[in-house]
Amino acid sequence: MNLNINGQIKEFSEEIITLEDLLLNLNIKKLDRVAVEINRKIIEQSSFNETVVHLDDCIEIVSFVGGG
Amino acid sequence: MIDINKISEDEYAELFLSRQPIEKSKILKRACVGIAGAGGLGSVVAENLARAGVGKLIVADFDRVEPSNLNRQRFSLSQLGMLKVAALTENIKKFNPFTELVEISEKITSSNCVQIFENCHVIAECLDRAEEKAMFVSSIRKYAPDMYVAAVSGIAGINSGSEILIRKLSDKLYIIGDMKSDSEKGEGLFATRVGIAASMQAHLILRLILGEED
Repeated sequence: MNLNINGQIKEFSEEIITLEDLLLNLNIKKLDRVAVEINRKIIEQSSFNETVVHLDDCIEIVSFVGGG
Repeated sequence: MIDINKISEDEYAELFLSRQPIEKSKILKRACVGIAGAGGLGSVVAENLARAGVGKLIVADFDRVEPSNLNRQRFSLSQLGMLKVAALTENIKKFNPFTELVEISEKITSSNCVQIFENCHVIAECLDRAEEKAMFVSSIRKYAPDMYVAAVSGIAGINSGSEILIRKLSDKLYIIGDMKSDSEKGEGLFATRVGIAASMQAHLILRLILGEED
């Protein structure tokens, strides 16, 4: 399936159902360091595993690193 | 040479801003900016915004000034042990007595952040840890979606300063940094690279207040 992530179409061989599936597929393991917007709406970390991603969703993912 | 003791605060304010276009200074004077964290990023962002004459700054940080801060954070030896928010106010008042500074010396959480920065036009995310950054950005975007947020990720190490870019993530959210240089991976933090990101962050905030989009 194809998903629009950070403005680019990305192809996935496995089936991605939830946002958590997607993040793990992208090798993002530290879910508490991530901010995600789907269609310009922020998704809280507590709902990553129940948020279903759709083909036409516009998904923005920021994986934060430390320093400030 | 002008004797600063013989002019009024209004006269000084006019001289202070005399190198900026007056119509822009007027808009900046009416603005309120939130700054989450008064460390390497926040101490530079706050000073830059005060130099530009932003009317009100709400700065939140529970930490105190330590020796290990001074390689990049804009504090002095005489300020060791002081709350960073108080030290920052002290520094800013030395050149700008008219910007209103609100000091919040509590830890920022998902439940207090929206209340702390209520009525701000733009918020600068200047926190240190990745988890805090993600929590803060997610909370502000969820509960105050009309506020602009300028967040930072990827400023550690000695890689080129030109790798630090501004990325517009959605209509109100910007991320500044190279997105990868992590301070927790031993690359260290330098005043120059942190300062580049902080100045880009402050400049973006001025532009957003003035109705310009990056």
